[in-house]
Amino acid sequence: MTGGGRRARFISARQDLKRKAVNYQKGLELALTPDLVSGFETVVNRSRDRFVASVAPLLAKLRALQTAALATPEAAAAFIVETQAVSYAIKGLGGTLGYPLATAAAKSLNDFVHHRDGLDAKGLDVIRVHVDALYLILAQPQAEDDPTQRAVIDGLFQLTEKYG
Amino acid sequence: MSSAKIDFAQVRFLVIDPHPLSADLLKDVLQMLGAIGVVKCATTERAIELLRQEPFDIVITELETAPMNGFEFVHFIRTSSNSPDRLLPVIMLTARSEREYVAEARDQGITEFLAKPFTVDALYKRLISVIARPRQFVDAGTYFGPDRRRRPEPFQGPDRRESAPRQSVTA
Repeated sequence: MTGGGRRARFISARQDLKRKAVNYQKGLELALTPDLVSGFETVVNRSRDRFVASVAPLLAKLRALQTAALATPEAAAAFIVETQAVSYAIKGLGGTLGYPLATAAAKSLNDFVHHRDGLDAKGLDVIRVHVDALYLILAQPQAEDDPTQRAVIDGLFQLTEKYG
Repeated sequence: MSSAKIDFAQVRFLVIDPHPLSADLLKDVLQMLGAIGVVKCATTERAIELLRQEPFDIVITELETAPMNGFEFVHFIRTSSNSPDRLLPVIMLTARSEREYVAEARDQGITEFLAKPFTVDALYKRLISVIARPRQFVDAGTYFGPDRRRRPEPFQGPDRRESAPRQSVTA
């Protein structure tokens, strides 16, 4: 045996949660059936309207902020912070709620603004294009394999790659 | 013969997510599975207050939280002398899913990691793992958390486990 580090100490797995939640009478099977999974996903997808209703005002706020974003460094910083928060939220939620393209577009936008602390006219244009695309995506039926929509997403990632 | 089941009504969840819709969605999903005790909060500061006030079985946290981020929160839970429960199962559910974040989460002592956007099936599997297949903890000096070696893979480094005494204490 090599190495002079201290020996690892092991603590047995705690069983209290297993004892109180696992049983043979009541609850869900350990392995969900495909039908049950599909039923759950359908229920989750019913939150789609809530998603659109919640995201639309966030995008509207970004549009409002972007008009003055280059006026002062403070305005630019506030706009970037807001863009980071909105893009992160959409990135995390879209796919779960049946909007995988919203997640893709938001990921591209979040990649662009993550760690960014300044903004120029070109950067503002990149954000504006992403916000416009998100509006369109939320207004359209989702079809991940739609070549036009896919091309839009690819274009957004190219923008982020080029100017990010 | 009937098979094992999970009664989610017996499990108390604490959800930490600053985004209201995201927290609501997770709460809805947990309730759909049968959970009754689901509390959500927007900050890690509030989460620690809640953990001191009442018992929770599982914490599900975003990485992008404040004032501590998810990594700092888990580090606090696992290592602080003020931790409410060093063995508390913590699932990280985050939109930061790149490889480096997954590795960091593991090294901070996260019990399970799940990327957003998530599916109910993927979340369910993480919950089953936490509830029905709890892992032993390792205190290796520089690491305190669930055993990171889940699969029997050959390990090339020095073996400090061979004769380590097994303990059954709760930290």
